[in-house]
Amino acid sequence: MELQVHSAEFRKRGLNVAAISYDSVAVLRDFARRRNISFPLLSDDQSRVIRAFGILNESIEKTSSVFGVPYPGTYVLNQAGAVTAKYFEVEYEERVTASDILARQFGAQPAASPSGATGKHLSITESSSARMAIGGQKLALILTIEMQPGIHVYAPGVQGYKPVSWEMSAGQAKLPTRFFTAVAWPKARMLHLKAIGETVPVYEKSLRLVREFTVPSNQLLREATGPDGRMTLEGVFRYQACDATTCYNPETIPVRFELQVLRHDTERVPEALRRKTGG
Amino acid sequence: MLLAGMTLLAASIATGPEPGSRIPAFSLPDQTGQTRDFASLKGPKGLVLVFFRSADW
Repeated sequence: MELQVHSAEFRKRGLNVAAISYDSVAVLRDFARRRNISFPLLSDDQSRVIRAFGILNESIEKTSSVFGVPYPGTYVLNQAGAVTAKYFEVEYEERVTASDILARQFGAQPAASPSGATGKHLSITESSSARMAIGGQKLALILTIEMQPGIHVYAPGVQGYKPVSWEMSAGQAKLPTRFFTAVAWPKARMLHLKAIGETVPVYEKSLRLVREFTVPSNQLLREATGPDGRMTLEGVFRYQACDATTCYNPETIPVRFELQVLRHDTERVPEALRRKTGG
Repeated sequence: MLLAGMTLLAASIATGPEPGSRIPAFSLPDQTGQTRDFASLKGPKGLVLVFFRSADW
């Protein structure tokens, strides 16, 4: 559980960690043992506390075995029990991970790749929204691109020049591209080139590109992860840089993201402990 | 934090007490069977309280 890994970091900052679910004490005991969880897991068997907080997922049929679950989320509480921050998953949004909360709450930096790449006209820094991940988790891959003064690159949609592109593909992890969403391209500036009478979409100064990556599960995850639990994602950033007088040859710069993958727990609690349908 | 537009979906889920307000009092058994409330759980600066779906599936 990612939270177990991070609970020490929260404790260093004076915050204890506890988690609540609708599971029975027996299920939680088994879960804590299998996953080596040392912080308190609280059993809200009848979902009374979940209701008192007003976070019962009402969209689930009452006859479902899953009825009683909360909208998953995290509160950061002060000494007095007042909420200082909260982090809830929105459907389709990236899963909020403990490292996200550390980053937002305490300004801990997102993990940067060990190698920032420098091209002739710009430098690129890779980072990700979480440094630890489990199968099925979504996280953001971020490229921060700093261009040299006077340099511009071309935005997607440009005619006659090579637009910037960012491809994530095989790499060491050999993952199909469906695990990566399209890049969210920022709005380009329209630059009028007087000399040739053209108006073209460009990016200048700095550029921050974000795309989402879904950590694969099961077989693909095992194939993509090294024995030490490291997953390396590789790709390329392509661009054509120009300044006021000159356009340079298109360049291709390798980019790389390293993640630590936590062992995915595929083991369920023993049959006898499982919640019965309609219960 | 990430892509613009995702926050539009936020209205469809309930997220409970807002920043600044107190959480409701609670008292629940932990995995060892011991009853815990906020006072027994909190650290010197407070508590990170996580609601998760289930340990069972």
